[in-house]
Amino acid sequence: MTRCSCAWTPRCAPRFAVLLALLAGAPAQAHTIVGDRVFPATLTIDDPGVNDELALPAFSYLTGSNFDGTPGPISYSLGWEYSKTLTPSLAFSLGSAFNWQRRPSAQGWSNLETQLKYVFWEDAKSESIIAGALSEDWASTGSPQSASLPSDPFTTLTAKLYAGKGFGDASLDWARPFAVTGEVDYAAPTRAANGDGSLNPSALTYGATLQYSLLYRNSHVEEVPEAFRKLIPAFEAYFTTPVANVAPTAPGNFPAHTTTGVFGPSLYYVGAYFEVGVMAQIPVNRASGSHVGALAVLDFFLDDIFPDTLGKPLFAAAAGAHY
Amino acid sequence: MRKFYALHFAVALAFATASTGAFAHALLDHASPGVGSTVSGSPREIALSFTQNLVAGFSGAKLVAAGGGAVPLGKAVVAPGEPQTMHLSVGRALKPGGYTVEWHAVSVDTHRTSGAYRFTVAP
Repeated sequence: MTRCSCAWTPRCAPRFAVLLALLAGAPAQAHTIVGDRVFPATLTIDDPGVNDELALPAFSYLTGSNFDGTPGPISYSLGWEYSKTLTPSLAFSLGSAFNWQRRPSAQGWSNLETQLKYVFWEDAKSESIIAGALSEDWASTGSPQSASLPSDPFTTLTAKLYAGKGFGDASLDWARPFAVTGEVDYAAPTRAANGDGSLNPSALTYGATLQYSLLYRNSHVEEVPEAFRKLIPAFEAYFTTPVANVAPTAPGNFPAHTTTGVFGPSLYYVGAYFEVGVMAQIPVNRASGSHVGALAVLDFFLDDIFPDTLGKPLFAAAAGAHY
Repeated sequence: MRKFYALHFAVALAFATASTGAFAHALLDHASPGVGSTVSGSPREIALSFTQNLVAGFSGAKLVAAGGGAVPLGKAVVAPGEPQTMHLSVGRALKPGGYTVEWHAVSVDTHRTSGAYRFTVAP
């Protein structure tokens, strides 16, 4: 197989899957409050809580790389995700994205993705939380196969595990603004192979963020200048490894089992009703991309904008139970 | 789908820009004595200013000395002209040393938040 310079063909599907997986990290976010800790809606992975929020838009930009070392397609994505709490611990979300690229030109909607997310455990005192989710990427709900950048013609089920921990209980004041979050996913296509014989691999996706909350520092450790009080700088990383049903590596292409991913610094502004986040995404290897890309999101806190209607859980909404 | 997203975006944006600050989680913005500060002399009151308007009846604070003893504080008072700030009178003069303010706040839309910070009274 020669380098993947086509807009989209089944043979190129793994390459597009990699790019879209990296781009698709953006739409699934929300913010969470556990005890004194505000976990922002991060860009590479989802935060560990459930929320009433609307991420719109979530933008991603990344330049791919060809096996021969030349730059690949320049890919863009504009996504959205709406998340609704059913109970204070359970949320349903719905999202999609419009993707387009240059070199060569192509465009199309990705499939609709739905998700049920449940918070198994949280402890306000230790600012800790663990959650899990099941999501489904619905086959052919995006652009048709005749589009230049069609959606996947198969459904993918993904099991997800999330965790978050703030260090407000640390004995050292300098450590208290720090927090970490993590996510591990296992994505399994419901169809092993396509009509042309190409395989749809299962993949393990994993990522983490390290955050330093000036919001927390200002409220709990030491007042900071007003201009910085609502900022949370962070460092994030996000990887995908094909683990099953992986096709043999074709000549002239990246190894089929190659782990792809991005890492980089990010910055979040957490307002009363919305959050803005930006990140420089640096490819971890040539299979992931050739240049530094970017992620950005505008996230509306519907629980704060509509606290008595759209922003509260459908069932068991109670004062003091808001996230 | 596009209709759905366009509608919600318009509504959310309208509320985000037109709201008066009466909703959302109340996070501590600044305080007197200041978070992590050292003050000379005993403060007569604790003033806690939040990012949102407060419900005085469900908001309050405790003051604890470094040795563990509680210092009596008055009830939280939220003045009409300053709805984001609660004032609590300090029941007695504070001796030099470290103190922790443990606060809890309920914003007017019932979101509850809490937290703590330390300050020091210099000898």
